[in-house]
Amino acid sequence: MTNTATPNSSTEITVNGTRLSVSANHSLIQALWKTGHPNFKSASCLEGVCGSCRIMVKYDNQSAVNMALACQSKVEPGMQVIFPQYLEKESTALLNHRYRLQLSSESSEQLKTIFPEAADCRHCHGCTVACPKGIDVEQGITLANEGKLAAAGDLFINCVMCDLCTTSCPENIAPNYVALFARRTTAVNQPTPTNLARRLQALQRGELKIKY
Amino acid sequence: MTKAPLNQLLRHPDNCCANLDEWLNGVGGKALAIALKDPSTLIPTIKAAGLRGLGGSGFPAYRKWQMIAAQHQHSERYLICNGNEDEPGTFKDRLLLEESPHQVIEGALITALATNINHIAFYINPHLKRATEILSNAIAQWQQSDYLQQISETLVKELVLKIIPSPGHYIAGEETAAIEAVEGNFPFPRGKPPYPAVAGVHGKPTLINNIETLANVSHIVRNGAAWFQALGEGRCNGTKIYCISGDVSDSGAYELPMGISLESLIFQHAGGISNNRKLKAVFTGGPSNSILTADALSLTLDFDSLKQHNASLGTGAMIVIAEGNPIIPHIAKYLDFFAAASCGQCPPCTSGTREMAQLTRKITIGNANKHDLDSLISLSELLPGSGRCHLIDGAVTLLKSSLGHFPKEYQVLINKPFS
Amino acid sequence: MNNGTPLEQARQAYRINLNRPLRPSAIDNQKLLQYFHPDYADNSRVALKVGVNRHDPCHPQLAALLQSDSPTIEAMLATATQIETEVLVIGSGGAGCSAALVAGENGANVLIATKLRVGDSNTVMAEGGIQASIEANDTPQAHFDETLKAGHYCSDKRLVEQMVLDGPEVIQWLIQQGMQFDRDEQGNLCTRRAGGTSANRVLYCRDYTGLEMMRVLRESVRQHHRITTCDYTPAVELLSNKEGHCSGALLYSIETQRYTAVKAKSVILASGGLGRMHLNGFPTSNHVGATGDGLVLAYRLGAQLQALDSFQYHPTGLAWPQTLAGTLITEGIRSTGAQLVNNSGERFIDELAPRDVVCAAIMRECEEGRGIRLESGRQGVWLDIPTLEKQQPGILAQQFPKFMALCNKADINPYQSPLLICPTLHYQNGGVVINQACETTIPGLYCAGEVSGGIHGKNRIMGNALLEIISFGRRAGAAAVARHSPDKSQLLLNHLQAFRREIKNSHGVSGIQGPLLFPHYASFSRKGA
Repeated sequence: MTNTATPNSSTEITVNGTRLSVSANHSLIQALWKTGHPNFKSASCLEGVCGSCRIMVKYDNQSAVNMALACQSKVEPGMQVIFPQYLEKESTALLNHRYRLQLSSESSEQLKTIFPEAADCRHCHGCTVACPKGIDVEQGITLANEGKLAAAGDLFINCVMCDLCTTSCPENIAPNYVALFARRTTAVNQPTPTNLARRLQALQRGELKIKY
Repeated sequence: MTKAPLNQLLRHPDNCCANLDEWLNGVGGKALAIALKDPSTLIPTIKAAGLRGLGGSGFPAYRKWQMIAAQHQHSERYLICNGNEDEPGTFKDRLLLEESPHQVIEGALITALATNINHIAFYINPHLKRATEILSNAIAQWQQSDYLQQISETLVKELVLKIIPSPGHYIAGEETAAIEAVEGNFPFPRGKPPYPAVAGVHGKPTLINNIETLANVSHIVRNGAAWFQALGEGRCNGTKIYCISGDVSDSGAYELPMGISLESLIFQHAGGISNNRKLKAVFTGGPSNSILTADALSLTLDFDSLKQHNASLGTGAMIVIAEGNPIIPHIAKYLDFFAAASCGQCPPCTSGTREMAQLTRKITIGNANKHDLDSLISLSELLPGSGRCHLIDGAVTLLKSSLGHFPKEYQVLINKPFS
Repeated sequence: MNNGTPLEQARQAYRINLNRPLRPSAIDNQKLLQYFHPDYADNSRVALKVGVNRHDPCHPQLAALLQSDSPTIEAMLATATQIETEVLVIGSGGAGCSAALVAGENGANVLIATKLRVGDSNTVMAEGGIQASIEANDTPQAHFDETLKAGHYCSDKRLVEQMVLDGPEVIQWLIQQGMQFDRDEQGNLCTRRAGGTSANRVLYCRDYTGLEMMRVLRESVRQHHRITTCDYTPAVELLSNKEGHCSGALLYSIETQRYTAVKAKSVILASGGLGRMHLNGFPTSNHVGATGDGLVLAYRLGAQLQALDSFQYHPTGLAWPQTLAGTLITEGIRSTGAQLVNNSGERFIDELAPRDVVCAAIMRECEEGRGIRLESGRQGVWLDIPTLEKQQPGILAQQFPKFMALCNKADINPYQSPLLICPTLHYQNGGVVINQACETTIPGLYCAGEVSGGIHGKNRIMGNALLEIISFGRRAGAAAVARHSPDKSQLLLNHLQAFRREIKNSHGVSGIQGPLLFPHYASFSRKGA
């Protein structure tokens, strides 16, 4: 273990413009709680899978600003953090894609109808850079546009739907929703698994009763 | 206060015509003849005249030209005549192209001769439909004349003139973005170096000059450096087209000597603030600059003076705001513009502009609290330098300047209790 | 009681050891549980003083909450905006979403009210998988038997029977919603085995079963034209009619701080568990919103609860670093051969014994001075990962990418350093009493998921939680729509007034207010409260 800092060593950080003196061993969310800064809208699972605690963060002595998840970010001296507010508004605005999942061999045509803007990808790579899970988001959109829906969906296996790709897309594409559609349509269009089908038939025939 | 002379060069009636014969019968063609006779005299003349980049940078024109001229290893070279003009409040390139396309074309031809360039791309915002049409007709007229042949012979390579519609995005006007666009790609700004003069379009030396800059060239060559210098006021050279809009009585485009005062521009030429109000603020040069306030009225309008004042002349656009007109809605509007203009490559720019826009809008409608303002201030501190190009920096400069000049306007609007 | 070895000292003393004999235990598992499992401790239960479950044993912290006063006053209801829906679903994890979807499919207009955002729940964190008996060498009967056995035969058999028989259909329904499961080359669903079971019965999508399930259900819900969702809007009180039946709920918007009274034909409570109450001071693997709100609301309305003294402590929660305290380390790593060792490098328990037994064994080491002590005073034991990697080189990188990512975040080199772990509060075994149609003892109130009780007895097996939420969630949705109720229903707080009187009379006022909505360290306060 390289983590040898003692729990009491304190450090200065800036969160949404407020300077805080916090314990060096905390995650950002814990640091906010410990200093009595309520933050109900940007914390849920604390394990990096719910995607609610999105931040913009800049570390001391670096000019780069990154998108990240607060529960997965350790407190570092001098770090500056913003919990962006536009995310909620933007992501709801972009969620107008309505569809009905269906058995169809024309899923890629359906995708074009539901997400016509996906074809506008300008390959700026911003979505991939913004993804806190390291997904090659842009490649996913490319694959989806090529009709390779299963492959596109596979890239997003660890997507936590934080919407950071969606909110950083200048063409208003919602890559994580495109990928989710790709994953779902792939799932429903696969043949029913044999072991599952057999068991369902047996249950229908009433062969499998429970005895107490 | 004496009224500064109006429209004495680029918008002078003698220089405004769309017919090539008319242009050549008037002032046109004479400078080109000088250039064809001895192209080597051109750079020294431009240097002596002190012509500067009028698209916003104020960078001495001759230095870019020299850099290109020094690239001996390539025979293919490109000139991008930058007419992407997309900044709010700026419309000078459109006027020049519509009123006097030949003055622009002749300027470009002379520039090509000076720097041994054989590809000239007129890179025009597609929204400028009429300007593009007029320019296109004008180019056709030049192509029917034998001037282009003469230039090709002087250059010892074929001269190619083209109109390339720009993608119309704000960032497409940035030098490296323009190069990408001319190559047929999406206008993503590139990192520098390499500088365009070394490796631009298709890796070849590339010069990028604004339409207004190029329009000056033929006049300087024809009339000489001393004449051009005398046009400006004080130590300044030449003229500048100011696009003035907002709360003034007579908005419009005014070509005036470089170096007149802000007061003279607003009160002498633009008829003063409408409804006899007082001046509150001026957004200069496309909104990505510091705001000027009433205490800057005596300031002379030129690149260096404004720089000393922490502001920028930019494109020469002046959006005037009268006392009583709240400033934050304007800031919110311009931040929205930057957010829509962000190219997407750098998430802190896309997200940062969107977040700043969101917070200022929230403040505007009285829906914000102190924490929102703190966040906004914090953003203005952490964002600069986080993008590949300067779009995010410009957005922050504007915001910071409004926070500095009008802190009270923000304070009174953040009464909402913390939720 | 000994204090154990300080962390730094223990870290230096640690050595990789391929041959660690298992120390024989002086006591059997039943005694081990009795002496050391938190549920069995003397101070782990008190008798409830008020309500339907009066005299029943209950964890003291939960008892204090169940018998807490409410900050709700009549004026909040009187000034609240009133809206109406057919089915109101409270909570939006796996159970809430599946209930809403089925209710919607059956033609009802549904409103989902959720404290955080749709899908912010414990479901999204489930890694292991979902149980369903589908393999040829397995039967629902075996699933039934093993669920009962693991739960120390304290489950409601009818509920378990229904759940195990639902299993395969639940999987089919999830696939129809667009959920992917790992498949083999023949297209069969892959299965693996859970601790304490005899057959491969756990279906999964890599390590991300819960995440995949929640992504799909959330999107299904958002796409459904009959379902409306309200984020950041917890229910703070259930509402009743004159007969005392459930007629709706009072919602509170965290964003606008306003109240909304929802009138509904049926209310489905799917609000999850209570890990964030940190019972006995334990860390938790639960999400921030798991504060037992549903139990409080249902109890005040008069719904019967059960097994309020039984909780699951997952044996391997990360104890260090503090940043990630409570984060779960998958059981899979123990089933691959990772051992648990104490401060002197000694192995003290069969790592694949039932979860409650392993948890008790870890507690024993800590209480008897063989643990590793943090500065906070909290103790844990080593999960010996370096020895596992030495035995099976490459296994970490191949099979546990998510675990490796966790180590990376925690700044731990698992090839050299063991991980300090201690049990983490994981699951509420008991809850609101329901029947097979998810009806509670209060007409109009339905429950599904962790908030309900009776399925897992006193101990749950891996994979049964995900099955439960979908199986009962769907049934709750269908039953809620099918309910016949009189059209004219009032929105009253009579039950709350009665409950308050009862608290006063029994001198049982606990001094706290409920529901908690957030853990105390989040410094949340409800307006007007």
